[in-house]
Amino acid sequence: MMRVTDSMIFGNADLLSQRARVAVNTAEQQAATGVRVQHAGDDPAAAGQMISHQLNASRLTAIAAGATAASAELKSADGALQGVNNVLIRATEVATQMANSSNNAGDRASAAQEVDQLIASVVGDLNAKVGSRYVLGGTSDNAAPFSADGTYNGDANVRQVEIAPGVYQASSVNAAAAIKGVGGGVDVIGALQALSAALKANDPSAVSNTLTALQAGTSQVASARASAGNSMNTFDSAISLLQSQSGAETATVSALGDIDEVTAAGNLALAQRSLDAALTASAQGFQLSLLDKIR
Amino acid sequence: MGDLLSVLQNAASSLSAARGAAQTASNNLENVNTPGYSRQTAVIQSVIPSDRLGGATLGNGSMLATVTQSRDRFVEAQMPVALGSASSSLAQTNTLQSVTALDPSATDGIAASLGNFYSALRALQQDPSNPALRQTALASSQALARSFNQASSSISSARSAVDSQLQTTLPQVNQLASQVASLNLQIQQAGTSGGSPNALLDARQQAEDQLVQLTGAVPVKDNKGNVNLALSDGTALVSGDAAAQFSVAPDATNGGHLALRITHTDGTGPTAVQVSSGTLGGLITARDGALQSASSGLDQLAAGVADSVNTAHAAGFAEDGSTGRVLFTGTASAGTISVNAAIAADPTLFAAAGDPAAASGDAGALQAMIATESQTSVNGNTPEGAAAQLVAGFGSAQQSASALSDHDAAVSNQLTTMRASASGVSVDEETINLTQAQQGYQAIARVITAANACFDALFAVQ
Repeated sequence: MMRVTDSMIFGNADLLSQRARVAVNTAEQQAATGVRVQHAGDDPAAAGQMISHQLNASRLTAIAAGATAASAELKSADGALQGVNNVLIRATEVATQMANSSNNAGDRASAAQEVDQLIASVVGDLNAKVGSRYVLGGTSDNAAPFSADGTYNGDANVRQVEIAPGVYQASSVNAAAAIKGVGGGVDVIGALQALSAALKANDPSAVSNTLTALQAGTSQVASARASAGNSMNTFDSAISLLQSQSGAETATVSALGDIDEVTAAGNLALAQRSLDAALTASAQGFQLSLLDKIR
Repeated sequence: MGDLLSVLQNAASSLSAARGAAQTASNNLENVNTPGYSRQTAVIQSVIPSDRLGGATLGNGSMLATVTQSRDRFVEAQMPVALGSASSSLAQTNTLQSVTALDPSATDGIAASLGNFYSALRALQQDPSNPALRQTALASSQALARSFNQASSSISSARSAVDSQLQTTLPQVNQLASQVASLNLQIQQAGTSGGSPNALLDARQQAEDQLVQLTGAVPVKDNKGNVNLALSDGTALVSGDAAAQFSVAPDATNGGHLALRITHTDGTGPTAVQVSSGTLGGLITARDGALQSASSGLDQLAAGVADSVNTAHAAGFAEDGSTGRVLFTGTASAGTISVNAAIAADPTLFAAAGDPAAASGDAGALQAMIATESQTSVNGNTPEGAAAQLVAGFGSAQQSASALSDHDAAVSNQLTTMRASASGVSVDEETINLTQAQQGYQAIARVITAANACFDALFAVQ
């Protein structure tokens, strides 16, 4: 039979109540903060995974933000190209009409004025900005890419923006090719300027000759818009996927490191009950002594 | 007549024995809460009979043979290792848990700063000439460097704190070793005069326990009754009445952290000594184990990230077209890493472009810097993998130390309970012993009264 001594009784009471209080303290902290893995040692495997998922969530969020901005810039570029397209359609109508010999010099002079206004409108559209950036300047985006006379000041570079870690997508329109026809296309502004000149010269034949370039320019701009649209679709799909993945990563971090309220409350209640039992048992043990029974 | 005197003599001896039993029980009760006190037992035995009456042998009462200490040798033999291990793992746990720099949820921790750094590069990549984004990228670079600095400083502080603890603990260790040696001598001297010097034995046991907790030394009793203590590498800490003395000296091979040295019991030394258990062993294990490993892991992570980013940055071009600058300097250690002062002073020197023309929207260098995120630049790991491995590795060390501490504490508590069961004082038991001795004393007093009545009767006959 094991002897039970007073130091055992008090030592055990101290130990048991301390253990119970530690459990209550841990449960209280978890219930108050909702955090299960506060320190790496709380769950090393989860802690390591949390780091990976946190970084991944952060990466995906940043890529989504960049893709969102790129999509907005493409929309702006597309808007500008749509304006150019509208101008080209109108210019084609004017050219077709003014190529007819029934029009006189006055009619063509007035049409030339309209075309000049259209050219100014095109230049304005093509100098579209998002924030501080000119979206149709290529990588030379801190100054207006088109001068009033139609000179292109940008470059032929196409900016690339991430749509997934390490995967890049074209995020700008190559205005040098789409508008100025670099690489074998049509100089759209040049075609408009040629129309204006032909109208001012009251030369129906020359006016008629601009139609080919205007129609080719229309196709060229439409092609650029289609390309921009594809990129926009790619970005929009990527954004949706990135946001979904980022949300999943954040949820995983939470699942690894947090504790749900019900579990936390249950743990706290259990720990408090254990502490109550430990204290009650200790107090009962202290009350029983032979000293209280003999005189 | 002679027989009646024998009765009185026997009663006197028996009374003395009963008084000894009562005093022993009283002493036990008075020391019920005295740390290190072992319950004492009065050993009363019959006096060997020498009187004969007719053909019968008459008893000669009782006597107090000795007062013994109650100790369970089986438990006592296991206590030193249990106490040393429990103290060692507790010291390790406390030291490792004081480091929070690698907490996975820290908002300003390495992972968050690393994520923010690459996010800022991505934002700048979208609009490289934007001064606000450039400033943000610079600030994120500085925050990342600061985060490495802080984590390194936190680990370094914990390691330095161990040095301080060693320095404050050693005087106590030296004092206890001297105390055990001195008590060895006193107990030997007391033993020559007969009897068991119980109070001295208790004092030595208590000092021995404390010394074992601090150093993990193993006690060995010699045939003279001395307790000799040997450290884990076999070095004698206490040998008879001589005690070795600890000291510390900076260890150049360990970043100047303090190494233990010992002046031996024969006065030679000091020489280097290895302590792998007890509080000292736990502190050193934490400092030179998990903390050093975390520190070097952090240095490797910082250097891997910074060097790969620096390579991409140096190949890029600033707004003014200049090139060849690194973004981070002092990359050899996480504690010294910082952002290039020239770039910090002039954010336009942040090399975003990949082309010498450095067009405003050129983000070639930024893309190369972003690509370092997935490069295996840290000992075959990506920065993300290395950071996760660092945190998980340190967490495992924390958890292992904590689990070991719980286990060792449970073993130690169990043995302490068993020791308390064998050597502790029970108030109930001693109250019974005291009452028993008191009643025995009263009964023996009755014998004297009876013998006295016999004498009176004899004297009345004359």
